[in-house]
Amino acid sequence: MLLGNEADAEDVSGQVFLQVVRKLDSFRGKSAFSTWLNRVAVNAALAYRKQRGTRRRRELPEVVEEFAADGRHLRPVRPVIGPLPEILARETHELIDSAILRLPERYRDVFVLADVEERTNQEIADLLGLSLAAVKSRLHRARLMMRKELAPYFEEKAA
Amino acid sequence: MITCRLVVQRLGDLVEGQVPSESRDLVEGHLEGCPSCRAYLAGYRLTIHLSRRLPCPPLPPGLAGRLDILLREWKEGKF
Repeated sequence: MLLGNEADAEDVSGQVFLQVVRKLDSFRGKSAFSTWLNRVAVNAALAYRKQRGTRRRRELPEVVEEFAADGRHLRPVRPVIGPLPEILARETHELIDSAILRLPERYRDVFVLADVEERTNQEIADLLGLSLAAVKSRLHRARLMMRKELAPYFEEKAA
Repeated sequence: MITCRLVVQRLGDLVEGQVPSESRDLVEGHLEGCPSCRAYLAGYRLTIHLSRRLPCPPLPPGLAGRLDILLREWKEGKF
């Protein structure tokens, strides 16, 4: 999901396998093998993406929430419809996948690691070489973008 | 007095239970009286929840076969 398409993921998977074999000696057992393997995989994906260059895809716009001068919401926010099974029936995984893939890369990386793979903010900071504050800030912005994109599907319709 | 703008800025900390105790009452008090912020928070939480329920994608076709070949070559000492 960091890469955005299956063909690239397949290429990188093969590279990761080779790197694991070659770098196994460098695994010192100070961290769990899964943590080390994840680091190798994320590094390989980021390096591949850098080498490949950015593909043009219609990205989600940065969310600029609109507030009145007194800091209140400019327009009322409509409640979320419920219950959850109804939402899940209306939502398709493809819709969420598609929104994630349209996040700008710097936000997508953090969002995928945090909200799809459920990594901690500290793990993400270590994996991506970011400060904890940067991870939290990017994650929040990514969630705002995702919320805005998905809102038409889970908010009550206007009367 | 806390505004909707400030509440939205703190949503990340709020869903992770990291709002400092000195401002938690202010945020919760605001949420109690503001339907828009409650709805916004519900949507924010739901976005996270739905993303965490995404199924693990299957291996791309052909990848398992390629990895098998690599594994076999590795066992045979080809690299």
